[in-house]
Amino acid sequence: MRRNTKFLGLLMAGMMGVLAACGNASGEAEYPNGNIEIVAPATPGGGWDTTARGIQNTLDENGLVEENMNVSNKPGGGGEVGWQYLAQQDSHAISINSSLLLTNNLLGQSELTHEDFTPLATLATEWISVAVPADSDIENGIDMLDRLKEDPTSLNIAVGPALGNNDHLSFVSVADEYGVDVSQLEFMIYESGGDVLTALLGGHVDVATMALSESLEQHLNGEIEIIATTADKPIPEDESIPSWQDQGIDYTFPHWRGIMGPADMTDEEIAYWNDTFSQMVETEEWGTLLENQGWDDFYLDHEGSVEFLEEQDQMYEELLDTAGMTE
Amino acid sequence: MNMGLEAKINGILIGIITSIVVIISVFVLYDSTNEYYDNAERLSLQSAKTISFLPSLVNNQGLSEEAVQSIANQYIFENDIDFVIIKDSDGIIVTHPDPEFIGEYEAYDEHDAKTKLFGAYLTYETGRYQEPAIVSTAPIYQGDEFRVLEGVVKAGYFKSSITSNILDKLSTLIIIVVVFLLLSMLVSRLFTRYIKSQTLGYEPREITTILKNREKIFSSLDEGIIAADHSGNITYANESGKSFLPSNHDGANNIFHALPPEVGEMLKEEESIAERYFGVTIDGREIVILMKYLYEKEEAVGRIFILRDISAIAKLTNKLTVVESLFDDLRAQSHEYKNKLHLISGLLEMDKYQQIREVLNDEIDNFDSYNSSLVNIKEEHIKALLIAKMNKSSEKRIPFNINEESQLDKAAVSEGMINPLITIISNLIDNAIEAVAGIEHPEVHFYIGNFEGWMEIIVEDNGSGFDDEGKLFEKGFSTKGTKEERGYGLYNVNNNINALNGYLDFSHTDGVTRFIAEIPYQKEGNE
Repeated sequence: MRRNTKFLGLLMAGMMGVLAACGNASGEAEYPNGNIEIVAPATPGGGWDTTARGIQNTLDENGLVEENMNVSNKPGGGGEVGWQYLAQQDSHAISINSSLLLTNNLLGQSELTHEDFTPLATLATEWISVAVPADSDIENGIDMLDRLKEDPTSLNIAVGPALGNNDHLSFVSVADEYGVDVSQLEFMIYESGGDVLTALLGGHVDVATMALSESLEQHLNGEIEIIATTADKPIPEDESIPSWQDQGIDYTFPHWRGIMGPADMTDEEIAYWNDTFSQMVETEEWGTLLENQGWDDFYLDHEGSVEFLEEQDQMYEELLDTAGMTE
Repeated sequence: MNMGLEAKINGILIGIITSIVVIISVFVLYDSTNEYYDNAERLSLQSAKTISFLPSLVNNQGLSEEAVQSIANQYIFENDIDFVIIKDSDGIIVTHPDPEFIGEYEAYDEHDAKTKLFGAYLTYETGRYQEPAIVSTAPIYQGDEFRVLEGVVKAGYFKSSITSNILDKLSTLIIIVVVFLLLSMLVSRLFTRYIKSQTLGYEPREITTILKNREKIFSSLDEGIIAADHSGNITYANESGKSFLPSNHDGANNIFHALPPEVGEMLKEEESIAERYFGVTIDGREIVILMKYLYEKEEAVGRIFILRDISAIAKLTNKLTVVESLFDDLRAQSHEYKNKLHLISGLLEMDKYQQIREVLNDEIDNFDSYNSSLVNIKEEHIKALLIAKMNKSSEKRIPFNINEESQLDKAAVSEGMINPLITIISNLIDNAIEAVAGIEHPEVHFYIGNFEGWMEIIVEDNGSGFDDEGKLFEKGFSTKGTKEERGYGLYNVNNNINALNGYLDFSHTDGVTRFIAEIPYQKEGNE
């Protein structure tokens, strides 16, 4: 019996060796050998879609990828639909990802985890802002937190498109740290970031938490006022915008976006994308894209991204477990 | 006492079936336990989600208590779920299986707080409600333009109901196991009975003993026993039976081909007689074969051959014949001496001393001539035989001349050759004497000599010879009257010469019948 198992083990090891050898041989010579599909797990026009098309253009115009590239939109379930689709594809499909990949699973909305994919790169971060209407009597971030601390239900907070996203998490996190009973907070959930902005502009809500890129333009126009950001440095467009750090709360929170492929990609395939993306983030087009979107460059290659996702996953898990449990 | 066949078969069969059934049951139980838990988790989460999405759950005033309670009760009734608890965002319980709790405050704990705060869908195990349960939570939202989290629904599944499901499964399995056990007992009983019927009720050990004993008995027999099926394929042969069969031969497996063709043909002949005897010669051995048909249900299924080598008996018979004839010869000799003594006594009465002297001289001459021709024959047995034959012939008034050049070294005759030689010489001389009996001037000449490994025996007579030379050496052929046993004379000579690897020549020319026997012997020092 023992000998059999041993033999079987050897046999399997041998077979795997052969398979690996085949993989090496074909991968090295041919990858990529077909159309590349960039999956945007959202409707056309959203942040993910913009990122996907930006990547496609940059790679194409700089001749970094010679194969044809298509962007396919798979909206739904906060990224779930697109990522389920990606998990079924071969290594010629890649997809945009974000922290939702981690929180969807932690909040019981998805079976998928970051371990079901091969992270290829982390590309950019953007900061999250807390904004109030231009005519609001809330003076700054601390003023808002003090009011919530006194009565958590005193302010209507707008968020979109769902509880548990980065905008929501970062807000809860800061409030929790400040000593607010976050379980009492009243969030109004809007369908999209655009709706949140509309609600804020219309004065339907007291406070809104949303991506800086979504609020910056209206802030610069004076239609709303940004009272805090999760940034760790001044915002170039308006250096007077205060971060939480500026207001004495040691809290930063980057909302990151990256790119990943299906599970079980070979070393050669990973090396190909490491090479491609490291060149892409150096190009002018990419710089322009980041500037237009209000994003910061945050490039990590495959190895860096794997490590980063692991860290982030732990961070989110702790955040979800501890938030609201402090009372 | 060791376990009997029945106990063994029962033990093995029941053991195997029991262990298979038990192992399978354990796997099934393990598998279904996992499945029950998975199902319970899935079901509770599904229920929590479904209830949370029901549009009638909330109205403008938030959670409507009456609607919620009837929905929850209906859901519990229609689905396989144990309890549903719904509380609003302030922690006030809106519906609860125990009506006492409705309207009470229940703090958000580490699990449902996540749902309340982040809208998480969670499944976990808790002992918070009456007994350990698997509980899923889902957020309840309300609103069109924007949504607000109104409360949390919890759908639970008591572990005890999972356990009772498992127990149900277990009892079904136990029934199946018992049925299989009973079945296996029945099967093993039937199987044992079948095997016993095949072994005529003997235990395997007893069968082995019987077979071993039979083999021993058959091996110790001198008779060869060979069993063959209907077409002659050998199914059994004991040790001495195998000695009749060629060891390396194509036909060694078939009795008809293994034996010499003429014997095979003889045996093949189908006859309705159940038992037949054959006398055959195989490789110079005289063999009697007894053939019996084996019957099973009145149908011949095979034959048994019992082979007995009677060469030794035949040899003994020959020797006895020789001794008997020597005895006759001696009697004749003493008779002749008695006659001579009567003659001398008569002459004494008549005082014819001169004639007495002549008779005595004559007798002495005879002795001298014997001695001179026998002086070179050193082998005492042969010498004695020749003297006896001389006396026999002289009694019959037939001159018997032994060639004076006859010689025989003692060393040329080994122990094993004496008997065959005596048979050969005695028979040849007797034949010659018989052949010349009753003719005028009979004469018999004898010569024996050995040279360079070959012994030569020549017997001549002037008799009439034989009519049919072809039949000369056949058993029972004789020209010498009617006495049956005499027919064996030349047949035996031939057999004995063959046995010594010698040759026998026969010729009849110019009124002289001549037998020449050439027999090889081991020269001294060549052994």
